[in-house]
Formats: sequence, C-alpha cells, structure tokens
Amino acid sequence: MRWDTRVTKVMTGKDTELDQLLADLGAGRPAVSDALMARILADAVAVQDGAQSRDVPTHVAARPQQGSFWSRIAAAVGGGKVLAGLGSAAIAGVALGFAQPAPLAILTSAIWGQGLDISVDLLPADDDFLAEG
Amino acid sequence: MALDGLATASDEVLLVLFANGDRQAAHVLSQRFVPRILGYAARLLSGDRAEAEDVAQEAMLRLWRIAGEWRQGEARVATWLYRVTTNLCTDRLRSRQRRRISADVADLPDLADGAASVTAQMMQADRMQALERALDRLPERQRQAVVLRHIEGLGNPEIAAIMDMSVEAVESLTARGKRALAAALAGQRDALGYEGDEGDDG
Repeated sequence: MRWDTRVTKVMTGKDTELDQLLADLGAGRPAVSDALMARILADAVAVQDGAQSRDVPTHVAARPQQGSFWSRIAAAVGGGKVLAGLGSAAIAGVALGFAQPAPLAILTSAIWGQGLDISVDLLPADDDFLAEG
Repeated sequence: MALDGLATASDEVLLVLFANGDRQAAHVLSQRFVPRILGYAARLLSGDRAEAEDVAQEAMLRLWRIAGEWRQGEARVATWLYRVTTNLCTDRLRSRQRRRISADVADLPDLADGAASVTAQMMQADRMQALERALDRLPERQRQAVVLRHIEGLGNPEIAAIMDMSVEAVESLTARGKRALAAALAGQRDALGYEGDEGDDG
C-alpha cells in the first residue's frame, strides 16, 4: 500500500494505519555522531576514575575510627607486640612477688647461708636527728 | 571482558561491570541506549538536535553515576533511562515556554509550507513533516505517551512506569493523542495534496 494511501486511511479514521505511520516515523532514528559518543564515553571514564579515586581516602580515613579501645592503646605505645611485652613483664613481676621461685631460694641460701636474719632499724631509739630541742 | 562477550550480556549485568570499572561495558551500554534516547529526546524536543544530544548525554551521565547503587530487579535500565530522558525534556520544554511566553502560535510554520512540491519524493517528505508537526503540537503528556507507545514501541505498563501514572491513564492519553493527530492530519488534506488519492482507496 502506498504511503499517501495510508495517510488517506488515517484521515478517514482508521487507527491501525496511523499506528503504522507512526512506526514508520520512528524507523528513521537519528544517527549518533562520533562526537556525542565520545562525550558520553568520556563521562563514563571520568565517573569510573572518580569512583576509584574516591575509594582510597575513604578507606584510609575510616580505619582509625573503626579500631577498638585496645587497638588504639596498642598504637599509642608502639604497636601490639610492644603492648604484649609490657603485659608479660607485668604478669611476671606480680607472680614473682607472690611466689619466690625455687632456683632463686637456692641462690640466696648459697650466698647468705641458712638462717640469715637481716634486720634494718629504720627508726633507731638514739637517733639524734629526731630529738627536738 | 571482550566486547563480543558483553554484547549479549543483560543491561543489569553491564551496569554492574561498569560499576566495577569495566570500560567496555560503557561502550556496549552506550551503543544499546544512546540511539534510542537520542531519537526519543529529539522527538519530544521538536527535532532540536543539539538540545536532544545534550539530554542524551545528561541521561547517560546520570546512568553512569547511579551504576554503583543500582538495585537489581527494581527497574529496567531502559525504563529508567526513558524516564530520566522524559524528565529532562520536560524541564527543557518548560524552560523554553518561559523564554517564549509571548510567542504567538500563529507564527509557527504553516503545515502547508512546501506542500506544492512536484516530485513524489518531496511530497512524501512533506507529508512526513506534517505528521511530525502534528505530533509536536500535541499537548506534552499526550506526545510523550504517543511517542513511547507508537514510535519507541514500548508496552503500556512500561510507559506507565516511565510517566509515573496508571496503565489506564496511559491508554487514555494515547487514545486522545491519536485522535488529535488524526484530526490535525485530516485538517491538512487539501494542503498536502491528497485531493486525488481518495479514489485510490476505494
């Protein structure tokens, strides 16, 4: 059927012909110029690069805020290993205070002998410095 | 991923690949959608090619920006793009209307301009132009519905999602638009040189 005949049918009220005419109109889509495509792809690259560059500072800035109380203390004294060493030393000191190890008792006996009684008089009765007047 | 492999990938998969930094995904998505939204924008903007290109670029830019947050299964990429394009065109048309608030409709080119061409090819071009001009003169929402349904070939549910209205409202808009188109074309019968065609039809 000729195009102008179909138009005539549209004008006499036949909607299916109008549908076809409109479809014909849509068949002639404008070609996309190389310049437009280049602009669009440049935008795409910029968005991709921008997304990647935004990721780095976000992660870097987020790390200290995500740490626990102990991790921040560890960071303040020089790291987790240093804090572990300090903790071990403190525990060893407390343990030595409560229970004298056997090898240490043998050593003190050898040097000072059995039954060594050492006393220190911190406030002697005849201390002249304490006498007033 | 190779361009050949991407050509058959779904729109949503391409968008995920794009968000993960795949450059080729942008190429395939652009080749798939830019011609469609450019043609649609040009139709809504009464053939203003430069403005339609700006709209197409802006719509694709918005797609690139939202790619990382795209929620699978919530919307089709095509529907989303048509919707953004529709909104961008609407904004530009309203801006145009504000600039030309005092323009007289009578100043628009007459549909009969050039209709006296002697060759059949020129006559056909004139008639196609008449159809386009009739389309341009439809109210904005009617034009959007008619273009999406009959030129872009979308279904009524998808058009309803794009235009944010019910399917029934889309059907009503499309029907009114087509009636107005038929009336506009019928009013140009003589000017477009259809005097002799009536006999062919019957």
